Amino acid sequence: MSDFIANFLWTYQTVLSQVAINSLLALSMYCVLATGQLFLGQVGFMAIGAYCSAVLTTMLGMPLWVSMPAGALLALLVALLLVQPMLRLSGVYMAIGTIAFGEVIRSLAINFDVLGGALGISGIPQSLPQTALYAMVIVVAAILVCAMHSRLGRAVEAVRTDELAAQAMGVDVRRIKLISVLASAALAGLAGAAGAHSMGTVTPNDFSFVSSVAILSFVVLGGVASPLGAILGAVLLTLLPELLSSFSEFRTMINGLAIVLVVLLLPSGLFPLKIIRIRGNAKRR
Amino acid sequence: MFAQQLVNGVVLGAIYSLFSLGFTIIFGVLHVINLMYGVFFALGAYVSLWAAQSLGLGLIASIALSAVVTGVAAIGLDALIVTPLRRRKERYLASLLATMGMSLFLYALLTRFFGAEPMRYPSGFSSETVLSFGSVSISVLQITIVGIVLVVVAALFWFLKKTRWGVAVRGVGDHETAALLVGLSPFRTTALVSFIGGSLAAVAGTLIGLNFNAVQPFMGETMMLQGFAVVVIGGLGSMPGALAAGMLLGIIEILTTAYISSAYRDAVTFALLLATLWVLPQGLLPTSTARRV
Repeated sequence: MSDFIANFLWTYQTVLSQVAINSLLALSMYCVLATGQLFLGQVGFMAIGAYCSAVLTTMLGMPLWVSMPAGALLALLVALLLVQPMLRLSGVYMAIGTIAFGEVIRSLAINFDVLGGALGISGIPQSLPQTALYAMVIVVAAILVCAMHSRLGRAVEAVRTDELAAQAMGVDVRRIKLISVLASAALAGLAGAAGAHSMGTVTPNDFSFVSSVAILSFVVLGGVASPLGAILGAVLLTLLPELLSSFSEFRTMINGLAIVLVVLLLPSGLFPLKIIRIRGNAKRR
Repeated sequence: MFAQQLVNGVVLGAIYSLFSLGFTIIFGVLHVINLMYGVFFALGAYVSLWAAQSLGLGLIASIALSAVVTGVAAIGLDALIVTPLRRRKERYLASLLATMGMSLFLYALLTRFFGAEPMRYPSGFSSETVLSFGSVSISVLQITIVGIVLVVVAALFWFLKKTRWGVAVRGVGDHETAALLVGLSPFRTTALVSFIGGSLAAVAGTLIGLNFNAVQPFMGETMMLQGFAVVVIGGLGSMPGALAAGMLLGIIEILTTAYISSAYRDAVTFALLLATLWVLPQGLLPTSTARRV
């Protein structure tokens, strides 16, 4: 039995890593969607984290436990610089502004020779054990679940459902949005770094607009009711194309259609609000 | 040299203006983000290519046929994907995602049908004469492109300002509930807007295909993000804003390619977009619809 498990883990190594990384990205997207912001700049922060960690390990020979947090930290710093102008935008303007941010980062990565141009960086040490990867997912998910069941979580929900009402109740809307964007950026940076060390390569094309849409679709499938929904969405949408790998030439088509069907048929995602929010509805009667 | 680049920039800018105009009408009237617009752009280019190659039609006839065919396809696709989402509270998020998913599907479909290699219009389809004015040379094709854009834009403005149907479209854009109360058919106006959007994208796609003499399935994907940027810089839903911003970005893009590097083309566009949003969160020419976001 243990042989079977070991064999299984070895065969599906790449897929399993991908599931964990996509879960981290889904949690990152969850942070902003939970406050109702269409913030789609995650791929940009992911690229910052991935390139930072890749450069630190391949060119400066730093160990993984320094380079990965450094990647997340750099993403956080960039987010701190940009968060003020970004929070002035809302709705579609925020969506396109943050998409533009991702594209600018990607163009910069292509144009910097140090970062390998369009080919990116390869030969990144793949020494990140899968257990560490899954431990990260569990820790982050646990933190987010606790946060969502605290005072902060109720404030986040209030901001999403009705910003004006939340403000009238004394919720510091700006601060909540700021926290959610910064958390999302740091998480995306961490996921980017983790991705770099599990795939061994980083190319600018990993951070395109299509990747943003994929991350967004995880959370939309899972629903914004709980961070666990986001993870469920990521797991399902990462495994689905693998299960259908015999149709690999139709893969893009299947992915596209899956997104369309999810949006059209499951408006509130797989995790409907009612099941999760036991405490939230108690006072409403 | 500079004058020559400026001429090329104006030609590209004219096409961008046309493309952005259709996207901004869809946003301004239907209040959704329709990323399938990029597919219509590529589809339009392929339909006119097919009309030129297989039916042997001339330039104007091919463009007209392509506009009608793509417009009808747009009505069908919009009714299937976009219309069910218009009543949702998160319709921007939902329409962005659903139309992006459908675009992925349709781009893959186009690639299966036509292959990923760029295809060219048959020789002699457009005039190859080049006129020289001192150091500046302008091809007859460039003049034709700008001429077609001017005619289409003028016709569109006339349609929206002077005809009953145009007034209906603007009415739905201003206040949908009020428009329904005075008896406008929501189905008919939605279909009309989809048709206009699809046709404008088809004309723009054909003109881009002619300008660079290459038609590819994914030509719409890059154009879509550029067009999205143009529309936001001009103010979402503002038609004059889209025209001005399209022209501006076309010229800037050509000048960046000529004097800096083609690799920085996209970076400059999006940096300009971020700068615009920083200074004017509502775009260059804000409209009343833009504020409703």
